[in-house]
Amino acid sequence: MPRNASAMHDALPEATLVERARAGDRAAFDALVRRHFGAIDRMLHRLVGNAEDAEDLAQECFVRAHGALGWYRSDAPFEAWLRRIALHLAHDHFRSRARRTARQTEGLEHVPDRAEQRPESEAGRRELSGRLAAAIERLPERLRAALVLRALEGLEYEDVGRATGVTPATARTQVMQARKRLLRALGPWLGTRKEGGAR
Amino acid sequence: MIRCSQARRRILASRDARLSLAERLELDEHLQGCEACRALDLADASLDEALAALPEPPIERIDLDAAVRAVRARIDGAELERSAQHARRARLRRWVGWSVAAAAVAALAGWLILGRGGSSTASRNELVESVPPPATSPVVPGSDVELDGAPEQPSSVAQADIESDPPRATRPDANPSEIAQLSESPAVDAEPEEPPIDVERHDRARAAVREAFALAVAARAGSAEESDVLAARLQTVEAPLKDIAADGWNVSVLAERVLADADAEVAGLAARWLAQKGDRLSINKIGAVLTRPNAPAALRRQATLALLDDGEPGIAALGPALADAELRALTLERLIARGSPASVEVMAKALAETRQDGAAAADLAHALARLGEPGVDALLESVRHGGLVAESALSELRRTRGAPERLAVLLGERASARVIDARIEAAARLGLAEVLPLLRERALDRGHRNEALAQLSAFPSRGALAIVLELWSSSRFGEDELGATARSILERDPLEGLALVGELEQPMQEPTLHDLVDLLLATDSRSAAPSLARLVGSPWLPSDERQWAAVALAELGSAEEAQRLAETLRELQPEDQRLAAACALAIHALGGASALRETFGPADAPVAERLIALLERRPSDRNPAATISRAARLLEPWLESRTLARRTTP
Repeated sequence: MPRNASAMHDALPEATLVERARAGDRAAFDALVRRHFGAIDRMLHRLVGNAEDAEDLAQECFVRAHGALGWYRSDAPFEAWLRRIALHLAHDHFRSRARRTARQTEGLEHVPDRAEQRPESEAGRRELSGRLAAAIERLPERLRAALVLRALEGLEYEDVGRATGVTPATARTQVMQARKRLLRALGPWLGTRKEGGAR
Repeated sequence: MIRCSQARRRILASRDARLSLAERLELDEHLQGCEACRALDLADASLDEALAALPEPPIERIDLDAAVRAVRARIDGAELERSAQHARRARLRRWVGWSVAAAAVAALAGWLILGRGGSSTASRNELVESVPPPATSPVVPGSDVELDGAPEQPSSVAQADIESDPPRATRPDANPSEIAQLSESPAVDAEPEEPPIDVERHDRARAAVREAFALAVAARAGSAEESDVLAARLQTVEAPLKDIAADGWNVSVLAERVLADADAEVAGLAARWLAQKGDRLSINKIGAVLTRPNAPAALRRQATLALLDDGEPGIAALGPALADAELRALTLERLIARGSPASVEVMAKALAETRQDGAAAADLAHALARLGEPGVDALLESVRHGGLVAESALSELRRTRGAPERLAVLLGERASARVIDARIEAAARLGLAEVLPLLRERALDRGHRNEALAQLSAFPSRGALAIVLELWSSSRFGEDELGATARSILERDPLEGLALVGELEQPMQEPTLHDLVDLLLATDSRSAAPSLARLVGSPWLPSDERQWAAVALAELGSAEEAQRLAETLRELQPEDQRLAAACALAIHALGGASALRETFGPADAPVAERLIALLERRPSDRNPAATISRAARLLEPWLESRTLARRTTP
């Protein structure tokens, strides 16, 4: 497609693009891909933990979306709809990965007590980031999805709930539970609980 | 001042700025005085920072044009695949179509060659013969319900007319001019040859039928047995009624008029005589007697007996008799003796309709329970009606041997959604363990969630809390809804929590025990205290988790839990000094200084006194973590000396 035509499509409102894509306008759908691919890829990367799988799933997400455009209801944001498809794909991905490889048995609660490793230094911060990413990856899938969408993607609870198929209140609870588990897992690095002993 | 458990929730909620100003101020006040919660608040803030500092996935690596091309290529590939599938299916359809057509042609050819001949003619003749001859119009000009016993009309015609809608023509009291007027109507023009109705003659026939029944009642037989009297009367009435019928009248229809007779005995005899005939319309007429306002008791009784004698068709009309306190016992006994499907059905229907009548519901439920398996099934289904009906049904099901086993079997069988709902409700109310997995599934299904959680809340046997814990671990519920469900369960049976802890205290269950601590705290109820006390002493939980439970107990527990904590405290090792301090703090909060003195005994009274002085100088709710630190230091030598004593004592 000529670049100027692509630029023209990129400037169109989302609802128009969706309508045109539904009507079979390939350029309109390409513009939608261009507009949302980055966000979906980033979310999937955070969920599945590696770039290759994320990109593959993001492409598949748009293929599925293209096939299901007739089902999209324009009263919900298009990106939320895409996120929901992406979450389903991530869910399938986890299931197939679980079948392929033995699940890591290390529990969140078994992080060693190393209170001296506090994130004051750059090295400490890197250590914390690495452990946090690993701890997020070990969260149960529902909690991970809710946390990623809320805390990392910055979605409102209504949108988190819409994407994950739960009520906003349940999404809020899931995020809180995910945070609790992370606090438990990362206590020594965050300076929690070992200091006190009451709640 | 808010408690630590409330503060902890508010700390997590504050990240979403969900706190009101008042809540925020309360939290701040708590944080100033509580080192532990302050530490949690700081850690949560650190977690926020750490989450924000997580490196972004490198999206600049994405070549969007390449991504668009890749997506396009996949879409094209998928469309090609779909087209190929369509083509394959179309080929298959064509092949099947041709095969069917070929088979049809072959069959036709075979039929033409082999089967053509007389058979076709024969079948055509059979067809012609099977067509009924054109019926003559049953409509008598001006005839209606009241004149259905009229002569010249077959009885079937008369009965058909009873079912038809409002009498178009005359009432018995209609005058001949009205009849004549109707005879001139266009409908009547179609049947000009029908003779006019003689109303006076009709009335005379009705009177004769009534008289026959009255005479039969008057000619009381000598026997004292009611059945003998009845048999004699029915025999007496036969001869005069035969004479009237011989005159061309439909005696059954005329006898139905006698059901409305002022003399209950005469009307009752008519009911019994009609029931013997057993036709549906007569049964309906007899049933109508039971719903008639102000019908005399004797007539109602006779009508009931008539319906009972009539067999299956009459039973369906016995609902009003079952609702009648005076007729119920008699009716139920006869229905139980019969034990037929129609008996079960009419009793179940009557039970469902006893919304406010507790005595009727109890009688009917008891009677159904006596009918064996079909009755039990009907009772199970009655549970869905709720209220008195459900209570009566459940009460009987609890008493009926084999009912729970039967229900357990039925739970695994296919049925309509309505029946499944009824079975699950019954099983949940009866506390059948077999229903718990179904309740878990239903709780995960949004359409049944509230109902299933309510059923778990009210589940009368053990096992519901384990299901709630599984649901909690699924992270698909709000804390409040599961906290409330667990609270209801524990308030009914606080020992259920203890039993669950006992089940979970084994290898590989530590995460579940963690979740149980959270669930118990979410109940925010004293009923969780015994379980928390057990968890404080559980070696399967890490020491800091047990500390949380001990401090929560200081808020939720009672003197009983103080006793349990004292036992735990005496068994601790020196490395558990903070846990020991948390226990001491909770014992003091629950039982005061005397409880602490009792815990340490006279031999270690100085330790107890120092602890008491510390705890009373620094009220624990102001800063529990600091108090725990000091108490832990104080307790360390005591724990070491106890451990040493245990090792050296044979």
